[in-house]
Amino acid sequence: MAPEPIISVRNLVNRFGRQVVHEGLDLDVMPGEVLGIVGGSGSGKSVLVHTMLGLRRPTSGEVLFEGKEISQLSEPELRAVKRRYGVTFQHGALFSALTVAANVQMPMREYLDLPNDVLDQIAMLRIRMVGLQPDAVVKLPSQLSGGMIKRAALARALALDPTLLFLDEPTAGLDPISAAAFDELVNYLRKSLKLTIVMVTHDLDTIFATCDRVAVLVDRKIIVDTLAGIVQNPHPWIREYFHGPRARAARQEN
Amino acid sequence: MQQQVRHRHDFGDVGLLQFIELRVVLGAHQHRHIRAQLAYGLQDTEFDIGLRERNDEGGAVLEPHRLENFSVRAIAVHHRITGFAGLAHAARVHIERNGFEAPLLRYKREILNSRMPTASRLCVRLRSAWSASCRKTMAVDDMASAPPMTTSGGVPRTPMATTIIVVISKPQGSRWEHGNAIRGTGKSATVCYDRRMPAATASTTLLAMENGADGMTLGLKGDWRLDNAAAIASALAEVGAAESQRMTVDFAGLTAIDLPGAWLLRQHLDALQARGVVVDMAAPVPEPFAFIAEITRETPVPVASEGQGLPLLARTVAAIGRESVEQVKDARGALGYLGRIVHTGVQALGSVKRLRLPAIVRQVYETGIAAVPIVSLIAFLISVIVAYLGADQLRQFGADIYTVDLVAVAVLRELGVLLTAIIVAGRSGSAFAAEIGVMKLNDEVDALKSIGVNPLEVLVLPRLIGLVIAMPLLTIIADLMGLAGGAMLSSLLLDIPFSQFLQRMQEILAPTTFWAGLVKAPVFALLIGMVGTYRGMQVRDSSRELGRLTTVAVVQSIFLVILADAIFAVVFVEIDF
Repeated sequence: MAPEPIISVRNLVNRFGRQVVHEGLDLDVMPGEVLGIVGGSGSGKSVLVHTMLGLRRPTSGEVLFEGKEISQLSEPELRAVKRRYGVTFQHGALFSALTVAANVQMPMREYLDLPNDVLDQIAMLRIRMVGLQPDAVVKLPSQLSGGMIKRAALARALALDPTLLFLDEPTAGLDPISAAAFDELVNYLRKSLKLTIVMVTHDLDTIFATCDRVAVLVDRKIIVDTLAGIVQNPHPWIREYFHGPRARAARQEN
Repeated sequence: MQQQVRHRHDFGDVGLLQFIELRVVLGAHQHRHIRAQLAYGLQDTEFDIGLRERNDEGGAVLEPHRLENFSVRAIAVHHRITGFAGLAHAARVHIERNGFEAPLLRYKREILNSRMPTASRLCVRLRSAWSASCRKTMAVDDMASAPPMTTSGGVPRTPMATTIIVVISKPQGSRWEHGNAIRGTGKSATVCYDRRMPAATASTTLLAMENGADGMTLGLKGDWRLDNAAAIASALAEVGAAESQRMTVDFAGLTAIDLPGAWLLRQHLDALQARGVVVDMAAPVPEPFAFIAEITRETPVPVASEGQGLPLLARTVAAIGRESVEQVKDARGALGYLGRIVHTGVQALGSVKRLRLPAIVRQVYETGIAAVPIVSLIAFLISVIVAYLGADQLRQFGADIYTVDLVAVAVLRELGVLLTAIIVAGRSGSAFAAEIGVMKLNDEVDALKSIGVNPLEVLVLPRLIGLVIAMPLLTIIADLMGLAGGAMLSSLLLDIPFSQFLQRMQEILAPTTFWAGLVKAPVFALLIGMVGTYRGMQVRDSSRELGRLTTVAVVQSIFLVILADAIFAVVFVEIDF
């Protein structure tokens, strides 16, 4: 028997006024996989992710989290679901008034009743997990470099041991070395923690380095295939995406 | 110590039950999820009910407080209730459960071991336990004899949904009476449960320490996961107290361990090792430890050192010193800012283009014209108040007419301009700080510099010049409205008609009175504008800074305005202006 998907999106329609963003979109996220979501600007990647996270109510269609429709969940049930996933945002979205340690502790303070020294220790664990130096804990987000912000955001997303991780443009704005290190980190954490990861990315290197399957948003629908399969897809936009000059270089490397 | 008076199990003569203990034992992988769900049960209840997890045998314990009705809902599927050990003076236990598995309720383990009712809906009634004597027996069989719910075809079926409701209700007129755990009568009964979770209890359930020939064996037991972190930490704290030179960690008794649990243990063991204790881990070592070894390989975690706080006196002196240095720096910074603005302003005056007229006009509109209604209203009302209070006093001497003098002089010399300045400080001073502060946070100020534009010239000068133009105009309006207020009150209350008011004003006012007020307006405008923009320029790093500096801008500009006003007053008196 095939494993149950963690998240399934069924017949999703999202509309802003007369502009249709998604039309009858289906997507399954299987446990343990890394799914990359790509698509042109304005193709509705963020809208899709926000809908999957339950932050946005779709115009119609449903999103099932482990078989349960999230729009039907009560507030407490939704909170329980939210505890199961971690999210990083494109620009980190660290709370600028809090230190890195306080940022990482924030979800734990919200969900668990732990004494401060335990929180400190676990925050240190998270910070070490994502490869930040121990002295980073007392820094404010404004004192961090771009790569460190991404890592700190990942540490916060990992705070509650989520099973599902959403990464929004995790390597955008990073230099290639930091981006490669971040890819490596994602692979490493996924292997060690058995995470399921959904990532929105434009970085072809990241896609080739980490993703098992790729979901491409084109023509208000989604085309999902394995990495090898999607590269062969005849759709013109996908061909352009994976066979353009930048893509060739990325594929050769990998 | 967690006080736990269990049900005595002597069903023959009802042992008055004092605790409800609903232990939910879960499949290892589901534990966290369930616990979260349980917590929501808590929120669903109407009453003040505490809910805690207990760390023994991986169970969860519900500790109801002050309850009459207690309901736990939304327990996830795959869970079994395996223990239902005690029940507080319950009149009715209503368990409604639909789960993949039928719940196994044990009032007494031996009795129910073999009996697992397959009903999807169990009504456990402590039948008439409270009817007359409060001494009736609760029959275990009540539960088993509850009719199993059947499907429409009449076939008993394994139920499929996810609810457990436990309702404990107490009949009217009955009395809670047993021990100190339960107090009160009637409807407002209080059931007290001790929620304290002592380290001793936790350590016996999570850790077993055994002293052997070759040192101490640390047997890990139960659930070492994030949700249990507080108990894990307190259990580990006890290990620190133990004196042993050799320690072996045994993972055999462990039901589950995750990364945070392993991390807490590792950190503690590292601290012990630093004190010279030899620590071994008996195979098989759980997986998370390999991960921890991996992430700490390059830079080992520094062992936490003792706090090195300075004595109180030294800290106080240091704080005062630091604050003084900050203040001096701040004052120097402000002075430098003033110099830069003067410099920029002198440069900008050289060409019309650099003065940025459109920006100035916009500032005049935003700080001046948009403020007209509020300034007018407040000037009018304040002068009415002054006139009213003055008239009241002056009438006692029959000097009603001097009310005109009072209002005219007060409004023109002081009130008009001061009120305007305070309103403008609140409106525009804060706006300047916030606008420029957000631009700083967005790197817009740096962007301007990179284009080769002086941000002082584009952002600060137009605001300052606009405000310097707008403030005197606002002051004139405030003066007019103030006089109008005084005139109105005089004609209504003192029978001084408008014409007489005007005449009197012309008689008493020196030609300088009006100017004595107005001349202060541009000065106040400069102060407000400078403080607002300076604080805005100081914003960096975080949104909290923005809020703080905006507040500082308003407070300081009002303070400076009043200080300047005082200086003006003294100077004007000295030069007889």
